[in-house]
Amino acid sequence: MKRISRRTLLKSVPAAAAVCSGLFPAVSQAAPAKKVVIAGAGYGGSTAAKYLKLLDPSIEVTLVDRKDVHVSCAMSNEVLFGYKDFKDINIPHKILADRYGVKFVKAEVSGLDPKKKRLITSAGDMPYDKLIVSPGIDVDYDEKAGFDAEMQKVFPHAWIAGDQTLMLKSMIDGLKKGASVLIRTPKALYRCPPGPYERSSLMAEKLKALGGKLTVLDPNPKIMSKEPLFKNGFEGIYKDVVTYIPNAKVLSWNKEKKAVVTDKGTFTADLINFIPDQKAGRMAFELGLVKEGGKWAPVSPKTFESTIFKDVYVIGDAIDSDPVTEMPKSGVVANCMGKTVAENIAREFRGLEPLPPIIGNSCYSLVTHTEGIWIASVYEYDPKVNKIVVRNGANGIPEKRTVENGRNVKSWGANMLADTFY
Amino acid sequence: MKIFSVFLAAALSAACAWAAEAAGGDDLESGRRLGNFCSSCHGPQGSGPGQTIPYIGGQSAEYLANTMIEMRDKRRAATLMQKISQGYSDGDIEKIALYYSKQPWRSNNNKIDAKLAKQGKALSESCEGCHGEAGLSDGYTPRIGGFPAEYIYYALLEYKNGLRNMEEGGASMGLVSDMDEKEFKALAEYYSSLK
Repeated sequence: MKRISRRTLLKSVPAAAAVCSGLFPAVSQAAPAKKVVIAGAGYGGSTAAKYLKLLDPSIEVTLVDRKDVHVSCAMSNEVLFGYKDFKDINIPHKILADRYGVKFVKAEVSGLDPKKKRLITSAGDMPYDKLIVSPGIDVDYDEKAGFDAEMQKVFPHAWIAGDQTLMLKSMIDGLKKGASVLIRTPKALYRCPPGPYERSSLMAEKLKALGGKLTVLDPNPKIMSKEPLFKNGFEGIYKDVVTYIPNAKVLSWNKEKKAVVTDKGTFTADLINFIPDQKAGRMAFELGLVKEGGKWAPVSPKTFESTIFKDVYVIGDAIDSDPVTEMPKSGVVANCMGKTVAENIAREFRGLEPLPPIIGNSCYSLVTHTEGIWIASVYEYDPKVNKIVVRNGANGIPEKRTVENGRNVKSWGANMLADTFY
Repeated sequence: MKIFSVFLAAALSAACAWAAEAAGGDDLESGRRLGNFCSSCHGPQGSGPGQTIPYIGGQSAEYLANTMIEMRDKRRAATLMQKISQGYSDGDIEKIALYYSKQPWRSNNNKIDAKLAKQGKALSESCEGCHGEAGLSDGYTPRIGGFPAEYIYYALLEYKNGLRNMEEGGASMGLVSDMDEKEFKALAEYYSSLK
């Protein structure tokens, strides 16, 4: 029977200092402040900015984003179906900037001079000692199949939250009795593995009440996350609503006829939510952080430093995960990467060695609007395989969906936003 | 957004709390690093606006460590914490617990139903023996004063249903086994009002 005594815990703590100076003792005032520039103020970038300042307030942190406000993709599925207000997933960057003394600059990032160590933006060149790039994803249009940049204005994917979310929401709100919907899920690897199946489940719940039908076209061989739990929904409570078709390859699509032609047949519907395949955010390509012909930015699994440029780190969904980790592309993983990089930069500025990451992922999904599921894992860098892997078997999903988990979906979302953006 | 203003004010004091770690030794710094992941669910410095995820910031280190071990060893009901706790050794857990125990306690920012809280106070006499008048911790017993009422309510149900390490820590909570949900709602409101 294991129990930790108070004495065991207390004896390891000597008297604490009263000076408010961050993790490390204050530097001499003569030394110029170290500069960290962070391009992209989503989950990864915002967490990195905040935690850098918490660790060492003397570091000058500049956070750049093309928008004043981040719209969270996480929880946007709840917004689509009316279970959360759109305003509750909009977070102004100003809050974090003001609270922690981060300089926020609204600007377009257009280039990088890795030799002079400057980020080139519409607000001027920004010199850095360290640069963190957290661009998120971009959609990978399949022009051959007929899904180009214009299509997302008519058939919103809503896989980057914001205007797309509102467009898709109004289409969902307009669904009538007996409506048909088609959801095409993206081919792995993509942002948020359970996301398309959560959206499908909530769509099925809505259509069940309308006497409608949902076809889920999946290019993957199976449901890519929390499989038995989503499958239980599709084949159980939603069995009269959902037709799930795996291994479906899109060959072409007809905008006028609203038809998607696949190797499993041609499909039409009143509402088509086509979620395209994905790649690293545009900024990663423009800054030269993606190899020729690649889709994602290669990084070190020990530090997330770019393998292309020194002193440049890439975090979040944009990294080339496959060679270095089984961690999914998720908000919590981006948050954890932000903390890891912040910590190591603060250490390096003080002449200390960086430490390999011990982090994790927790991700809640809804199967009905009240019942939830999750996946949770702890990860660490393993030098034997030079990858970030599950730590000590800490990885799993629940046996079934529950109302208790459904409650925790909301608490988790609120706390995750607070840890990252506030 | 109003809920966040509490955390706005406390974040600055939290920055000072970080400084204490600098002189706090390796265990505290290890605890901070190992516990980096925790705040993404439990909230910054271990507390957040979520109503059903327990505050760990400012909680008793002894209680935090014992609880995590109980969940890891399946002696206490846990949802995803049962999986997450597998990732940490006893030594890791002690350090993480130490780190979070040093963070500022931030009580809930909810409006309290005064009438319901009064009913809860009337029921709380037998709770005081372990939880004290203010719901603070004595080390082994956790702080409960200031938790969100919803969290306390579901915790009480778990104790009543024998889901929380009934051999040891839960055993003394046997006194709630004859209470009902209405009484739990009142007790939860009362203890959540002890901010």
